[in-house]
Amino acid sequence: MAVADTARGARPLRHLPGEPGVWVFIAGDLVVFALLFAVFVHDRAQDPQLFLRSQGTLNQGYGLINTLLMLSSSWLVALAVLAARAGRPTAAPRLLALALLCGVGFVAAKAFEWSEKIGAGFTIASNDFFMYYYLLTGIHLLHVLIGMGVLAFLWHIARNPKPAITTLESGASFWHLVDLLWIVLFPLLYLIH
Amino acid sequence: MHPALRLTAIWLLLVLATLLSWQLGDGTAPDTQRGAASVAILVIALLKARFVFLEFMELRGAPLPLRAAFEAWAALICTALIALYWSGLAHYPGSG
Repeated sequence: MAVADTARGARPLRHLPGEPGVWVFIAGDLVVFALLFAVFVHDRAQDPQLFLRSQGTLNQGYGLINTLLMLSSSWLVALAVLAARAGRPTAAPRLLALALLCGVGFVAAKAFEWSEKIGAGFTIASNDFFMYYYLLTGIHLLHVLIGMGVLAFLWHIARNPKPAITTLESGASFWHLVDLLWIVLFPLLYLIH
Repeated sequence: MHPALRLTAIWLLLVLATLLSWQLGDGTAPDTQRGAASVAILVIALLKARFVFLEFMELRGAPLPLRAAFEAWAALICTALIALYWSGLAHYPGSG
């Protein structure tokens, strides 16, 4: 009964999704990335011509596709949590598998993008812009890879007829964080001029 | 609205916002509008982040101090990035 109520959003009390410890980790990660974002835009402001010239060599299409993949996988994970709460044990793993597939697409696009850049002679040592480009997308990619491991684990949990909802919520929150960080990185690296 | 329908509407909104900021940042904006377009792109990005916090991460229904802290993060980042970006406009070619 409580599960069905939760699925319809009828929550009498305010609800913290997942374990409190996950939120401590997410908050810490957000502080670290806040500093990275700020340092990047600060350094960019010291030499906008160099950053603009280097940014001009990026293919915005990769950034756009990766944003759409991250948004879609985040949406699929949120739907999976709803499905698990509603006691639909076939829908939840299916949605998580699709979300994981989006993650595979993200990594593949990033691999193509990096190999194109490296092939054209742009490496982490080229200049400040590319140092930040590889550093920021690299740290984010590490998050994506860890997140994909988390999604695989959630897929396993969601197959249980009575899945551990709190664990699902914890993993889902981490994956949404990975989505959110890319939402800010995409405009910083590819779009602002 | 049914929660799943609501999530789908949010996803669609985020996709449309992404396409809008991609258009604004395609590099074809004239020099005089570059600053305004970039500020708009940053505002859209942090609004998208706020939607992910509230809807996907379900902070809308979370304990208020937690929700407030994450909303403050988005507001602070938005303000700081715009200020830092703006400080660089003085160093653009042609701006003296």
